[in-house]
Amino acid sequence: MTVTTLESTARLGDRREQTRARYPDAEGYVERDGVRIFWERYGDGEQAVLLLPTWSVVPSRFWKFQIPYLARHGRVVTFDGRGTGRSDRPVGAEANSTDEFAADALAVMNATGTERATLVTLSCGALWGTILAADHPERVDRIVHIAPAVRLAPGFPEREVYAFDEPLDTDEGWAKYNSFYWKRDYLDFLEFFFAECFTEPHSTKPIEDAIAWALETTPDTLADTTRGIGVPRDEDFRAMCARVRCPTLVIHGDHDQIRPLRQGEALAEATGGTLVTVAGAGHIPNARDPVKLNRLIRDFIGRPPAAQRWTRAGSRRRRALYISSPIGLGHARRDVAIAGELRRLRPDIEIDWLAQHPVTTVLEAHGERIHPASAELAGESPHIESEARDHELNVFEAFRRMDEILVANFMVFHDLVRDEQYDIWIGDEAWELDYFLHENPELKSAAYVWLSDFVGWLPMDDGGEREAFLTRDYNADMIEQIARYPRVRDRSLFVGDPEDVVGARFGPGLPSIREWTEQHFSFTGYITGFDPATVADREALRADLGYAAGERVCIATVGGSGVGVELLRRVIASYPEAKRLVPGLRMIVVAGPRIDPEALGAAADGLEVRPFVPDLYRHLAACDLAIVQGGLATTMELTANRRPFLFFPLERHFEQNLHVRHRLERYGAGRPMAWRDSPPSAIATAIAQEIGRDVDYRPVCTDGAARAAKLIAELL
Amino acid sequence: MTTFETAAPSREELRAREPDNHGYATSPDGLKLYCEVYGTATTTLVLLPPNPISHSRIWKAQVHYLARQHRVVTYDGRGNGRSDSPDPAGFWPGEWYVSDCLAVMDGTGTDVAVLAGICGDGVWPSVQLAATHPERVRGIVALAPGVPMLAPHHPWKAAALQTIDERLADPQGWEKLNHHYIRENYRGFLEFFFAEMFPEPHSTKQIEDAVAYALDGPVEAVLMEQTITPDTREEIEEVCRRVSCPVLEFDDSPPEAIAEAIASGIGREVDYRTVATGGAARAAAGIAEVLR
Repeated sequence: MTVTTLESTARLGDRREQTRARYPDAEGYVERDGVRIFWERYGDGEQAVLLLPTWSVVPSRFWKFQIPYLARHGRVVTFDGRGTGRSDRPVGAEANSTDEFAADALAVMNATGTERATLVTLSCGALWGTILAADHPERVDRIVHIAPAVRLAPGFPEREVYAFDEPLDTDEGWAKYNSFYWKRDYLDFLEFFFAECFTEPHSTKPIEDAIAWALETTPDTLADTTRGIGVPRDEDFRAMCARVRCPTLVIHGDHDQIRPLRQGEALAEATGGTLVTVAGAGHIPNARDPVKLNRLIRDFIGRPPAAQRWTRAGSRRRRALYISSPIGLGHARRDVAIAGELRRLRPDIEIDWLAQHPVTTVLEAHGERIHPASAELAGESPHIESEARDHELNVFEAFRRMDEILVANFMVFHDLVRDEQYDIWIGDEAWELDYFLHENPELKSAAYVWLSDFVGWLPMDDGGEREAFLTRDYNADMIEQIARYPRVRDRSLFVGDPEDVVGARFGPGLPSIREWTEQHFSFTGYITGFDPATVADREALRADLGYAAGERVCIATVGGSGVGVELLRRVIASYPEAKRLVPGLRMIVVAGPRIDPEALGAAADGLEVRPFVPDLYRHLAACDLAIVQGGLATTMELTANRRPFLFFPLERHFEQNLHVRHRLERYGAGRPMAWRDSPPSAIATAIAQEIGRDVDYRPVCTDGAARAAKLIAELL
Repeated sequence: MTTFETAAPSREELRAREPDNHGYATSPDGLKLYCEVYGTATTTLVLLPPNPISHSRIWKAQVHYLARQHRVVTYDGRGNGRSDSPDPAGFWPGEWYVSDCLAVMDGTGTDVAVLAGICGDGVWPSVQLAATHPERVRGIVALAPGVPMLAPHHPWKAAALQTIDERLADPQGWEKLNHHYIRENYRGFLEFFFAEMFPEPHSTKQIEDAVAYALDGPVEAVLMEQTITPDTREEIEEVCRRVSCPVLEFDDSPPEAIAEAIASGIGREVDYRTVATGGAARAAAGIAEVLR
């Protein structure tokens, strides 16, 4: 584990909480002896789950992969343990004893009106979970212990060597688990500790999360809660386990370096519970194998009976489930085109869409069937927008910070395909699907096609060593997944030609992206998603749109997203100068649905700011120059229509700056503009140079959707 | 479904699993009822036969799977297989189904069980048993459930019942459900009847098996006039309402009114499910679910 690379993360990384997949429906405090405990409630229903706090090194957020899934099926209550999150930090060991934690749990159940619940614990949460289950059997339906930290069996000997509350003459290894050392270098302890927790490869994100959460509390507070766990109780723990009557499930990883598997085995034995061993897992499998853990918890709670309809295999229609990424509208249009071609090849096929806004607007316009489960999806587009500022979007980091949403959305998919049968799943950059199917290959029960228009996470120069390290790690993870489970993807389709793939490596010591992609993908050619015949007669189109003959029209648009207001402002600022250089210049600025036209400033003569333009693609085909961001769909649409255009890739956006840029260079299309080097005057000059220019772009193929459909249909 | 000429197997097929125990229970009226017991687990599942038209082998696709986790009891009902037949001169009271099942449970030392039955011969006695002996029934799995009077017959069957005792010149289709035709051309009737039971394409083996199982018993038992107790819809609904154990249903046959009727008859407090199915493997999995 390259801990040094992660060190910068905790210090420099974005400390803003990332977008949650689901926010609490209620929250509040309960007070006991002057100590306030912060709780949250998600969802409601007869089945309740209380996700208990663990050691106060982390607040309740460590359940983030469980909450959205479990809350779809019932009530979920969480609370921050004393000493962490939004709960108080009482001083001293006695105020942080296991009995206090158990009493807090009961108080939270009372405060939230939770009569009974299934308890889920992690690590030392097993201590207060067991107290609650033994002393209040009428309140506990079932209990799940994950990686329980219980002294029913010996711990690791290396952890027994050093005293916690004495100064040590070493700070190597477990000597870091020492209250004096924490005051000296808390961060170093955290980096050590969480690397020990996450023994699984490619765990950068959970480690980063945990360290960031741990930094919300202080070494002194954490030391008090640590001492609190050691406060003696009258009753022997084993005797208390024997008093637990409810069904018990223990889940423990056999690579747990914090608490050995034998402690989980001993707890299962002492409570008469069932043990599930997760081979290869470390101490926090709920973060590292969230899909499996969610399924185990849910199966253990039990699903209430539900009517089903199961159709005999021979009586089924051919059905496809299409999962279309909501990040960028270009996916929706090309996917609708592919679906149309697929129906031509397989007229009997029934296509359902698992999709969210804004893809759904395109699907609705085409009369496509959006599966009702789509309503359960957590929003990806709002998250991406929330990660952008000005003309900047670190899309790789935004993707990493979407991990909770991806788990939540995979679980929606999981429940859907468990209850309904499809012949094929088609995922257009459906990242959650691809990643978690490779992590849980036994869940693959249909043919599966992956589509993408770029391959490889690439670091941006200003991302430094940290981004280079992380993108390499993500690429390595993907390469290993596909090498180990080639059966998961029945087809990988690259939307483009081999030459559209960048020549870079996946990272030091990893293959060339082009070579690897050629080995693992089929190529469909580019898919524009529109019929070029509809915009072929440019003169008629211009007349229809009200553009005078000889009039020079420039259109600036940033698509449907709220990211891009700064670009539009700058384009507007360039207008006076541009008009001086291009007499009679008509400029149309399309604000789109997410940007208030008023906020862009007053229009001048010849400059129109429009909130929305129906059939924007027709205007883009008819204009004399377009000014756009660096997204693939819009720039390739302009390329296909052979229009001159200026494009401004979002800063720190590796896909727009590297992958799209590479492709446009191949087509000889568009003039790239660097945001930081383009004041209004530079934009005006570029407008004057480019407007109305004859272009010699490489032609864009028009049969991409048909080629993709043919490759998909072969699996049906 | 085109009927085809069925061939009886010359000997019984090798079974996927042989019973661990077999023997005879005795009915209250002194008939011997052949029983088989598979497995030794604590939870018992009793698979009721659809007799006298068939016998315990109709469950052959379920036994091996279910017995891997549960104790499974099958038996031949009176009038077929290795069980005795009643005197064909008399009536066939519906109570026999209930009392024979109880005799088998007693004879095999089965205090409490989940009951699984097909259609009226299996489901209705299960419902009655659950209503009158709740301590002995943990749950009911109802395949293509039939409960008397809760839903109308298919119109074609209702029409056939109108002419069941008439001598017809050349009975076609459901007209073959006719006492004269059955007596004189039992195999012809069975081939028609089981083709109707298996509307799924490619069911030749299932039809052949079913015809062969029917021919293991005397046609006279099939021709006996059956009586139903109680004999009003209100009383039957009252029996259904007394069921308090979980019920799992498999039914994909129209009219869906049958399933709805049993649901309304049994009432809301019951753990009620409907699973539309064909497919023996699916049925077995569903049964396992109730047993959990």
